[in-house]
Amino acid sequence: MLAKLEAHGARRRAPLSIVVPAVLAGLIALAPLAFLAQVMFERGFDYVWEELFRSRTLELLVNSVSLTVAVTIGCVLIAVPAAWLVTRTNLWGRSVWRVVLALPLSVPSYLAAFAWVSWRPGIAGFWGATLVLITVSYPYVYLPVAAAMTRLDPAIEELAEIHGRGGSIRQMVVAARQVRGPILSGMLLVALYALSDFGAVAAMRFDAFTWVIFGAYRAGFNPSRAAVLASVLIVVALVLVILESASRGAQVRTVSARSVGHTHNVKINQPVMQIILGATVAIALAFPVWRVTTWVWGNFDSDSITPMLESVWASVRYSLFAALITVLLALPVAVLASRYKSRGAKILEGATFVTHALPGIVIGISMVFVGVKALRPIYLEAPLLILAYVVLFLPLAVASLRAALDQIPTSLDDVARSLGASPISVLRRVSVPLVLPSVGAAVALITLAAMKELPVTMLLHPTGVDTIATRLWTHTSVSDYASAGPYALAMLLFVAVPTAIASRSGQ
Amino acid sequence: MSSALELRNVSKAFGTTKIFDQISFTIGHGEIAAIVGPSGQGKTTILRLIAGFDSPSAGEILMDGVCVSDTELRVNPEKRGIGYVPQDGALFPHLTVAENVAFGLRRGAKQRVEEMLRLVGLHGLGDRRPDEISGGQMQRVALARALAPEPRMVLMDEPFSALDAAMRIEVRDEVHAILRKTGTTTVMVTHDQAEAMSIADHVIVMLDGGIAQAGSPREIYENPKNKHVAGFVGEANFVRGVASGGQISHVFGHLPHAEANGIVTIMFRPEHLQLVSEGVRGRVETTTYYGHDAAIGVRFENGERVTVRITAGAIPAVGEAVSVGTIGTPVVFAE
Repeated sequence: MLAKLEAHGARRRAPLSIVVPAVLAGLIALAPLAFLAQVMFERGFDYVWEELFRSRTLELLVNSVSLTVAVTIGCVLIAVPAAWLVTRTNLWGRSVWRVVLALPLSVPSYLAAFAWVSWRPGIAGFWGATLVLITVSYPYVYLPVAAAMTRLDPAIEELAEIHGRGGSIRQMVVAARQVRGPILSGMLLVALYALSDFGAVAAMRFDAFTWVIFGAYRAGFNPSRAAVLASVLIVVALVLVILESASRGAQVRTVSARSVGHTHNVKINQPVMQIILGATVAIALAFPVWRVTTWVWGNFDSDSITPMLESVWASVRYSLFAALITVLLALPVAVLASRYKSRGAKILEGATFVTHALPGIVIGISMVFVGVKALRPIYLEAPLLILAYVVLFLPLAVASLRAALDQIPTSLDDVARSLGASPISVLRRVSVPLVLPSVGAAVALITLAAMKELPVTMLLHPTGVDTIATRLWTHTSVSDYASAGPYALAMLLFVAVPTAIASRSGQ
Repeated sequence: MSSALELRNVSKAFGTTKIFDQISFTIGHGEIAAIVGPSGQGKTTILRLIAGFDSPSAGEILMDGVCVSDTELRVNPEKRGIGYVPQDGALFPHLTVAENVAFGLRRGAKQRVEEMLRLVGLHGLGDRRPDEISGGQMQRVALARALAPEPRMVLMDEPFSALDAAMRIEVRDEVHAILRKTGTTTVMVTHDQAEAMSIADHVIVMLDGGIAQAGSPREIYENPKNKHVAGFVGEANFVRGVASGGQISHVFGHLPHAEANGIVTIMFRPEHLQLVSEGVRGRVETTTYYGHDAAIGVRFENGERVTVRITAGAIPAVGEAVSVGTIGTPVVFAE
């Protein structure tokens, strides 16, 4: 068995026509970090040292870490019971709840944040940021946990009952213990999200790393300080990413053949549970939608339609172009990682993986440095913005293409080779046609993610051209919700709704 | 004339794990060879080395007398002209049956595709998708696809193991007929000795990471080199014998044998034993009824146990006293 497995992962030399573009992709992914380091040390090592050990830096670290911890705990408290209710109980309307509970993921964090601030300005700060980040990121725990709980052996509930532990809370704890792995990886995803988020903390004016990095660069005109703070953020994020990938090994073990379709539904208090789930969805989903409607209602001005459509067009244009380039660059890396398991391939995949730990704001300011120092002619022009999106979304594209390629049995490659196809023509005639649906899904999801993206877009959008995200930010950050209304509506209609549909069909 | 395929002292290891060591064999043109052995012997790996998907750790592989592979991969798989039929058939799921068969052909070789589909009895199914045909049909498409470019050799990896028992024999016989008809040199890998015996001209038995014996199916069944081979290629009864003075004494009597000395093992196939009125007396311990025959387990008074195959007549009951006699000459193994 071992021999067979290894035989299929046998080392073969990859053709240059795959290696060269893959190396290019790796360099593009890592280049911004080099510039970040250069800017960081511009004022000398002593400055970096001093900046690192200022009490303000420690304060920021405490702020960001507390926010991350609070959000992660909040998400688990919502997501685990919700996942349990829709998978292991006799909850009414389970299948509808199951879908609806995942939807808040497609609401941009800054849109949700401004929805709250516009309603009660006093909410700004730590608790506001925590609330918003929980409502938009709990699906990162909910989705994997619900998926794992579906596959649990019904015997666990039967056993619990035999042992006289029939209470529904106890039943939930028993089920949750079986899916510790997925809960943990979901928590780490949420933690990375909370740590990296710019939109919600910016809208809530909370002094987390991302917001202060932006301030240091924008208001303080102190790129070195921004770079030093970014490097601290990178270290924390990298720890989370490494923990996350390590936790993926520890997945659910209690899977049985009879688990599928056969569930021992735990009886719960229907009205109470319906109200709790209803409140969750109301806060996470209905509330922002309601706020956006009130911004638009009564303030509708037909003159605002043209600039709104222009911003939609700009968003679509940049994002789609970026998504296509990202996926094209990701393909050779994914092929190397999936088909040629050499050390070089691992390093390359690792290089694109590192950028996965980089928060948008960090990539944003790094790309500003790239623009200012090396690519002056395209600084604040469309190509640099697109390049920044490519760096930001490359890890996502590599991961999804690699997963798709791993699904293709290597025997197909072998047969194609034996029938006279060179490695490149195997790619063209077999692998690419087979991953085409996943490529399409990746392009769609990256396009939508780029349209939603705020910090990179804000720092790098071409002078005089606004996207939905930048317009929305410009108006809401000065509390001009009437003007923000059309853009918020556009964000919901053209980004949030398609994201929900695309991620659902991708499952 | 040089042989179609020759392996010279080929070894393969992954890291420090040795898969097999110093394997050598030759296969003639038009021959059907079967590599047979329990799983974990690296049989699939041998095919992969021949196909060029991987290179050996030591040794060389020659085709028509030309070295195609040594520790450095010399000839790429696409240049070897070898048809490959993997275990699962591995049809390209995004292509129709006809497009699958045409994969290794130049564009527009429509006639050849038709010809191949007719050969494997799938004429008219060219427009189907791989998921619209049965498992047996998939294997035949995989064979048609491998044969279409007129390869110098076809490699088949457990080609029938994914099929159910009834279908397996039918597809196997068809594939055998096709290979005979086209005269294609074939190397097949299987863990099923019956399959190897029935299909191949040349059987290579792999045991313990090396070739235990190679030869015609009859040779291997009737004259196995050692107890392991004997037991692997069919059912075997082993009884103890004592050799001295040019003959061996055992439970069934005496056997003239010039070379043996001391304790030896004597092998009888179950079909070489029969229930007789005057023979070695024993008691029936088990009976297993197969329909076309039955296997009777008999314990002799000296404690030795044998299995007797009876094809007709009454089946004795468990506990009944019987007498066992032999047919033909048994095989002797030194201890």
